[in-house]
Amino acid sequence: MRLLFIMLITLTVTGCANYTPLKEGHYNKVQPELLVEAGNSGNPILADSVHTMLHKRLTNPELVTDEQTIEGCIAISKIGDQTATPVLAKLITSDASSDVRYFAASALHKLSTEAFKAQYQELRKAQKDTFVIQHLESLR
Amino acid sequence: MTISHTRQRWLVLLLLLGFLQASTAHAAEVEALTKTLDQAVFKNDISAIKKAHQEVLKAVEKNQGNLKLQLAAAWGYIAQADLLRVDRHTGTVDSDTNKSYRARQAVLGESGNKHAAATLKLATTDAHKSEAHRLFAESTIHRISGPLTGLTYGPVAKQHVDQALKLDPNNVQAIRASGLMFLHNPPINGGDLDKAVKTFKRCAKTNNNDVHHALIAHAWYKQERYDRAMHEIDRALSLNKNNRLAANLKTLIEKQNDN
Repeated sequence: MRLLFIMLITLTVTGCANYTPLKEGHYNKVQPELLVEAGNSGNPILADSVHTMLHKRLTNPELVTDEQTIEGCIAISKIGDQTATPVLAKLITSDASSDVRYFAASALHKLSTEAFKAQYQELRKAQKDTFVIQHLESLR
Repeated sequence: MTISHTRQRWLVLLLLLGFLQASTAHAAEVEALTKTLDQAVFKNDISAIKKAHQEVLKAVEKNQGNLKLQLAAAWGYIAQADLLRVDRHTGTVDSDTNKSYRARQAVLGESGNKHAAATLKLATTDAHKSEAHRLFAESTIHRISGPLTGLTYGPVAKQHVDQALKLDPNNVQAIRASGLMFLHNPPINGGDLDKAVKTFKRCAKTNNNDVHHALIAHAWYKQERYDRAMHEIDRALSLNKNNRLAANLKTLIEKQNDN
């Protein structure tokens, strides 16, 4: 009975989607749609898992796809996890994908315009892609 | 009076040279006409497209058997209909204008069909046949104005897209046409916005142009994924600031954000 109660609470808190692969870091089983749901849930419990995934993208980019990273950036900005600003800044300056850098910039700006503005020069300096530079300038 | 063998040879040579010169001049003229049309289409300027297309149609009247001209003739009608559809779906046209645009699309589609049918007869290679089927499909799609015409022309369009892809699986324009069916058809008729995104992304991978990015944006927009749509809109406009679909979608999303 107690176990059922705990499961009910967990389901209520995290919604009906199965976030286990995300929480346990089995990113090969994480569909981008799951990250969209995580973002829409606004659930801060999930923010930590998404944050970890984005960090993994920096350290082991082969384990996290472009699509997952993009949806992760969007999700984390929707949830409003302010602790994610450093990882987003790092993605903007060092990720191999210009699309990822674009979305990381949008997410950082949404989370904290102050942090974005404070780091703007550094973020811009790290870019070689005109498209990302234009986006950074449009957000400024 | 008899002509010597040497003079005969010279005459034949002169005739051949004359013919070659005329052919080259004609080919150059066809090239110039299609280039002008392509440039007008890139500008997304319906008046310029109409003007360039009129010149193509004049040339087609004189030379109905020219495949390139017939392809351009079909394409010109489709390009005009495409812009009307863009404004209907994403512009700010009122109800009466929407109806008149819809009717005009169908007329352009019908005219496009005629030239696409001509290209089908003239095409000899698989690549050209594939293009002919693709043009037939796209002009037929424009003839769909409601459920009844959808029942008539929908299957016809699909048949031609399928045939285009069978003849040339790498025909990006045909892949894009199949994406249009995913984008615009209701789910009951095979519409699938997820598949639309994937199809147009495949097109963009082969040909990174504004048209493909704007279509990806439209598919995201219809799923209310405005964040993803804006990214593709920015891509499209960075490649072609005149892309009407991208510009219209941007206006719509900015209005959403203001509200």
